[in-house]
Amino acid sequence: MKIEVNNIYKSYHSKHRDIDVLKDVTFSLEKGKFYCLKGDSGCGKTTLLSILAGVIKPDKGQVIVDDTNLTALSEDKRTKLRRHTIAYIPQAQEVIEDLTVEENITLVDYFEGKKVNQEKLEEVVNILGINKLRKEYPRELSGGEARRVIFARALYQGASVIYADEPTNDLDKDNREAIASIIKSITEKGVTFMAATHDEGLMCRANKVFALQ
Amino acid sequence: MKKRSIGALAYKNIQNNKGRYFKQAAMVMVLTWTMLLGLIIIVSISSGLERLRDRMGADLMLVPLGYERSAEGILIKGEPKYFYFEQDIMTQLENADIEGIERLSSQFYLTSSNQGCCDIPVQFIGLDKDSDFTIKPWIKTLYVNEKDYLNDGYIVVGSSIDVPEDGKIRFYDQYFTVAAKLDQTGSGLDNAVFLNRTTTKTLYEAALSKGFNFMDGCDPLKTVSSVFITVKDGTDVKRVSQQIRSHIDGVQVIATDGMIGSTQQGLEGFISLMYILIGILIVLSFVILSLSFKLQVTERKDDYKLMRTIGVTKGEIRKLVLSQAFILSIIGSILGLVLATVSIFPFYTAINAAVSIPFLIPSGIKLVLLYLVTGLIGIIIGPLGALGSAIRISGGLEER
Repeated sequence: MKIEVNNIYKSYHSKHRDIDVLKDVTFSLEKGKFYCLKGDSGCGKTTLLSILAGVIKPDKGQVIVDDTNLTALSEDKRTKLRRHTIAYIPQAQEVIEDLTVEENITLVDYFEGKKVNQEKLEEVVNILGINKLRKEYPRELSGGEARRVIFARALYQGASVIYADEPTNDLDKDNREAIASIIKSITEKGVTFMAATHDEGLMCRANKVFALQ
Repeated sequence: MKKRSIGALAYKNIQNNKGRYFKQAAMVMVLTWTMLLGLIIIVSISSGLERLRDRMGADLMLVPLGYERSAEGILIKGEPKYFYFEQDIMTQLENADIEGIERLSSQFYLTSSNQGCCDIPVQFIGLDKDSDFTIKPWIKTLYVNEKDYLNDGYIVVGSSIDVPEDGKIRFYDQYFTVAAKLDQTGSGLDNAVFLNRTTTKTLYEAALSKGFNFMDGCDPLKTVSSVFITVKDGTDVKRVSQQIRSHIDGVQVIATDGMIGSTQQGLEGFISLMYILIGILIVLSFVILSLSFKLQVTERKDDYKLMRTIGVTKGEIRKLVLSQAFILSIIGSILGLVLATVSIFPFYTAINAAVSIPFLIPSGIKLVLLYLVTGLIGIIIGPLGALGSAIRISGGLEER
């Protein structure tokens, strides 16, 4: 999978002023690589990830995902891309409390009217090391375990690219290390991973670090 | 493993958090319970009056002057009464030769006693088998040959009277064989016992021997309590009524339509009020459910946002919210219908005895329709109440 980001502009308009968040952002991402996006708070990292994930549209510019112009698609089509191709993990995203870990991971099957892909599920829970937690409810999980469940869901859905906003936020050192290793093993399976982060430990494991100013 | 679906997810959400969703189901349950009860009561009253009108079979009823209320009490309220014409009313009617009268039939009233000599308290109505047109069309169960149902020693009972296994009921220490049971009217006639004049005389004499003297010098074979009259087709009932009054003194002429009509009029206000209350309840339920769903959906805003993030479309979120509302409505409706059923049917006899108006619980198609309409309203109101919230929350992630 190749992702090209060409000349992205994005502004927010409020009553009193216009804020130019992103100005002429251009880069490309390659399959199976780990990228970090760094920058000061408010510099546009979350906005950029949201655009890359198809959650919002830029004012100008394109995001090409394997020859498909993501920014030209309708909202429904962009939403459906997030079902399998693109995974977006916003900051502080939780899991659904009323569903078990397994049900959280396979959530998209409810909306596709499918049976659970047991093979895929097994593979994913083993990669993330949460096999024993499948029947637990999220209230019984630690912060690190909940984060793994979120990654497991992204992998179960077959994402080719994962965008994560501060994936190691609020985690202790051991859990940050664990998440960093998980990201590495995910990318080794050919999944492209981009994380917006302040975590230096994560950044030094990345293939490339983009800096937003 | 079964295929998953939005409906299955909706059900799972409810299952895993019953406390959160109980309120909505309870609201629908209360709505359907109250609505079905109310509608059954309304239809029962209307049906009772209609059935009584059909059952009377007569256009006019003659009673002694001043006894209109007593006649109403017997027919409508089921209050056992007795009264008699002092004159030979049948001869007077014959001699008056009033135009337009098609048929005449007289009745003689007695009541049972609440002393130990009678098995049950009832109204006795003695009638002439040959001229009677008020009970034969309404026989539901015949225990003897059809031609024998009003023979000497036999009685015909109203629908509320239980027939013992041996088919005999004791009045004034005399046993009488039940020949037939009549169809239900929901009126006072359901507690009446019908017998021919000879059997009435036997009963009267039995009552006398027990010390109950209904009228001095009364001859049950000749004395009359009321006369039922049908007029010929095309005849003006009012004109016949006026003619009777002008030819015969001491008689109250009651148009049976008018008797029932005045009762009906009195009840119309009550029925209208019931409909209004049901309407208010439906609107109130909708408002409360809308607010409740709004709160509940707001509570789960983050979950819906998460779903949008992982690729669930706005339409699918709406479907999920509405599916939850639909499932809760079905549960509430079923519970409400069951509660209404156990609230009224086991207590029908007691209700009928307690109310002093014709009350005939609907059956067959009418009843099925009532259940269907109520159930349908109960099932629809939840999703309707949730619709606004479903549309609002499906926006989820903002498009900026």
